[in-house]
Amino acid sequence: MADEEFVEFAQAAAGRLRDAAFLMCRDWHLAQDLTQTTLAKVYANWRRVRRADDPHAYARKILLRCMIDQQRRRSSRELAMSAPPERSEEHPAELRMTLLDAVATLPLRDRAIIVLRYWDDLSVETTAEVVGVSTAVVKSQSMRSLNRLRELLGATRSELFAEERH
Amino acid sequence: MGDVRGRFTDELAQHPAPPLGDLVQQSVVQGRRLRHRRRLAQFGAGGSALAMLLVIGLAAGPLGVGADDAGQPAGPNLGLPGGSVDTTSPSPAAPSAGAPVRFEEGADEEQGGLVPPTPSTTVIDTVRMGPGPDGELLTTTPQGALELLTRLLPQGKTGGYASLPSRGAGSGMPYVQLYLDRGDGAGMVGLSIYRDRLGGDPVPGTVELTEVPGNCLESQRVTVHHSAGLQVDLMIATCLAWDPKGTSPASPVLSVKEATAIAANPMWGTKLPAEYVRNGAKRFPKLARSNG
Repeated sequence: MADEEFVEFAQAAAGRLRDAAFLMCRDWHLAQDLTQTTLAKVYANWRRVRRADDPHAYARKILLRCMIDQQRRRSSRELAMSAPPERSEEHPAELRMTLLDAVATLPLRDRAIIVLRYWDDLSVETTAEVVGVSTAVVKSQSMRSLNRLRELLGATRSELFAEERH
Repeated sequence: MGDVRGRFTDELAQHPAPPLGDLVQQSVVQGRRLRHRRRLAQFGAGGSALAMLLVIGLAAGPLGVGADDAGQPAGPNLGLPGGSVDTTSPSPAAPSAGAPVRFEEGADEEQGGLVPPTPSTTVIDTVRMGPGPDGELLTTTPQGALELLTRLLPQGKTGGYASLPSRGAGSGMPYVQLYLDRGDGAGMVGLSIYRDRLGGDPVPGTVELTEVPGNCLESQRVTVHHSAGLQVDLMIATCLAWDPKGTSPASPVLSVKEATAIAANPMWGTKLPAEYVRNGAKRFPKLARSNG
């Protein structure tokens, strides 16, 4: 019965978890592996997870933990870019930096905050709990990261985040 | 926020995701292996403690002390004034300073950084299970569970009644918690009823003690296996409530022996005598949401 409950949960959560993982690592195969590992750990802790207020947030916490571990193990193959590519004035549509490119330049913790807040629509409080930081850190890092993304994406896209400025 | 999300959606659409395939099934297989490895590790760690318990048990006499064995009636009056709960049993473990479910870098990978680092589960006892309740039965509600729990608890003031909306738990399997003050300050107790056959079907009456030093909400968890795979967990907290900013430390208010007697009460089940469900509904019309 618990197996059925877990499978039901996992089927509902897998796609969304994998999307969040992809947004943070930009590699579907890695995202798939991380999602499977995350769900395996959720399964192993299902007795506890099923009692959690928000099992989906709990799963995201495990996913982030897995990402940190993976990053640590494969630091030499870090996917995030250390510096953004230069933008071309001649072919802006093809070569301009995408939001995913820009997000990838952020440290993993800040990436997670951006993805959890603006992709998963988690509250500041839940994001803080998932990442393991205070709500003040989530707020300040969100603003800082959005400013950074604005810089990277250029002035023409700043309107994308205009509502985040206040 | 919406625009950022929109951009994410658009850019995700430009990177088509491969099929999920059998990801869920594979995660179950992998999860079983993880659980199996953890149990083996716990068995190894707990083996010496169990051996010690057995030696003590042989020297001191039978360990089995169920509700009946303790001279307590199987009915619901265990916790009423003048009840026969044994308060001379050893005190539970000292309070833990750890807050539950914290995300920490560097935590044990096997635990996903979520479960306290060194939980240990040991079989500590086998109690004789009395017959289940007779008469009209209704599906166990959080209020009904609180009604029974407050009657089973030792004498003291109770409050802070709360329940956790059951997500994934089956019908009649609530999680409830309350504060109990026996005169030395309030402490928190939680109780859950659920069925989980993943670990096999232990013999009814089997009592397990799980020490969770990193989680003050359930520093000690006493699990009593009832029939048909049903388990009753009684959590002895060392804090009053969980808050992301911290917890309020509290002393444990039940001994393991007392918790065992409560969790082993044969009244517990996915159905309770109608009296408890009805009285509970009147007595606890509104329950706070547990944050545990």
